[in-house]
Amino acid sequence: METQVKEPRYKLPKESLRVGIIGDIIFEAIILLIFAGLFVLDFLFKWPAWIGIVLLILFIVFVLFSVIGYFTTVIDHRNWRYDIDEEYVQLRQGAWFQKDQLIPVTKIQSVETKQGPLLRKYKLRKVEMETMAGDYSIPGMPEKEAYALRDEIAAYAKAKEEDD
Amino acid sequence: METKRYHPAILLFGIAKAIKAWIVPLVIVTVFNSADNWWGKYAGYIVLAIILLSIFHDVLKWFFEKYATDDDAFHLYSGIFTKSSRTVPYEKIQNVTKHKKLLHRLLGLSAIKFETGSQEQAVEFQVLRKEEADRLEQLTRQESVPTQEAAEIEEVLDEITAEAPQPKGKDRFIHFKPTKKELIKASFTSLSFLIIPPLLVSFLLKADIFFDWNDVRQYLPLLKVWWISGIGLLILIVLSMLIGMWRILQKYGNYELATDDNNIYIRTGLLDESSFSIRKNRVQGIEIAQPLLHRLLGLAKIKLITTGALDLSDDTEEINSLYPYFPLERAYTLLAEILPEYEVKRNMDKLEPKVLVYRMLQPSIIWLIVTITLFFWRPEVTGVEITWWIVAIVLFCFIELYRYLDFKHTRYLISENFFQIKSGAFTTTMFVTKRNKMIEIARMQNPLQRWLGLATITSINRAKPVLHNKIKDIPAIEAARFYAWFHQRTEDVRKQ
Repeated sequence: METQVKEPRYKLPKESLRVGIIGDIIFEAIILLIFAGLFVLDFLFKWPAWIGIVLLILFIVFVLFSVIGYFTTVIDHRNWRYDIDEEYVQLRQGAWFQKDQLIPVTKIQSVETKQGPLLRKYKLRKVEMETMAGDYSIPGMPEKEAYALRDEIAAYAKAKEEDD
Repeated sequence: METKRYHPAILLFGIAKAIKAWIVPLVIVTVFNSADNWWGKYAGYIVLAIILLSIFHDVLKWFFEKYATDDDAFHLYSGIFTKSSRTVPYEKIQNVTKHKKLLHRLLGLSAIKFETGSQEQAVEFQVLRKEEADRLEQLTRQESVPTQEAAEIEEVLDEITAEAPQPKGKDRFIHFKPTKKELIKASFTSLSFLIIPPLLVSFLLKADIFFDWNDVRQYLPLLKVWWISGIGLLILIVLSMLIGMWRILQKYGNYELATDDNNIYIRTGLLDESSFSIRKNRVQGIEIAQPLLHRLLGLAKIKLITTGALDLSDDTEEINSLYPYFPLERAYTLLAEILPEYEVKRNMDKLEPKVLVYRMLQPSIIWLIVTITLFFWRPEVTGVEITWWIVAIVLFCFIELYRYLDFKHTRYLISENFFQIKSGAFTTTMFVTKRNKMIEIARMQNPLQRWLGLATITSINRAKPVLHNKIKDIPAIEAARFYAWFHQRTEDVRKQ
């Protein structure tokens, strides 16, 4: 009876990594702008010296986190797996801290696909699933596949268990 | 389909509720009001206006809210300007709670609440005639097509009818009614008599509204006479115990746990009576908890995990917990009687010894925070500086003891159809659920766990709110087995 569950097969497309990184870069650019503004103000209004030091420390921490953030985005993307069959949705996340989730399709209450401007540029869509226990999303997949997956999940999820 | 108004006595309850909520402010602003400004003058009228408005609101509501029932669903209509209607199919109903306050009982009425699930609002009737409440309850309990699960239950039932007396047909079978002895035992275990002294002290401290302490002071030397103090103390103790017993009696004096083929019925409450019923196959899991004192006395609490809310709307009295002072053995046999489809196994797997080392060696965030804070802050308590390293050592020992106890109590079992986990350092909790009642699972592994060949698993069950149960550091092979085991749940789930 105890057979192994098949490993989830599908990976995220390359483009979704690009979307992730561009998203990070935009976020970091905004923070950088704020830092720049603060440094200019510090210079113009001759704020007390300790503020300059605190700003510098914060800036270094921010740069460090950005670099780490870049690697986590890449690693997370590389280790993201999902799979779906008639009975289960499987999600796997993380490299060091690995998390596997097994969700019966019958428990899925709604599926939707979403698209922001970045995802649109790369013709990707995000697939979001809602279950009784929470919300799950597959962060980016080619539009056609996303629609197909949505329809597939919806078709499987039509089956309801007696308890629900 | 006949649409009905709610019972007119709902107005009476509305009035009682409004008065109950506002009587204290009203008395304060009218009787004890000495303010000499416009607010002081009109406050009484304002409070009165609020009471009248809330009563008026109830009247309007009574005029515009209606309900109807047909073969499959409740239909609820409401709204004065924006009309809304809601349809709740009976199949969606998870459990039923009836509640009769003293006022209900005097008028032969009843409140009833139908719980529908984790997210939706319950269908609630504040006031109904008793017969109407029974009719509605009966409607929702119509027999559905026999399920595979029901068939399973019957099989199991057949097997054990030989030894345990089982209810036949529609007859209710009463499994448990506490005896006087059990009630007395319960009132001691609950420790509820301990709440009296602090209450008394806080009352005395505030009592100077009624008398002047200076008048009392002249009697204080009397306390030096030993027999007066003795009698006083005795009266205090007896009073505490009586009140403690009264609290237990009020809750469990009329307690009854009964079942028939498909349902479990729990009744509780002496003056305010509550009853709870649930279909056996709607029970999502069982929890057996043993707080420290319970463990010392060999008692246990059993709780049914249900999809609906855990308590009644106005009282937070948990009614889905079965009688909380069962001797442990009795708890197990009782469970086998009322929920034969749940086989609670006593032999469970322990964690590997290496887990203890792994857990004991983990740095504790709480310990670090407390130690660092104390090291720099060094607060004084009653003039004595707290020696930071003593606190650090004591806290360290406590944390390690806690971890050891938790490790010692942790058990798990993944059997054919059941998932059982037990954990807790001081209060141990055992959770039992069936594979088909789990709605999701997860498996997690951090780098250290990978190195040690361990993993963490989580089961998610329907409840309000959704119930997550986690067991950390079981062998990775077992976690994989758990994953595969859940993957085969389709075997015992029947689809519509």
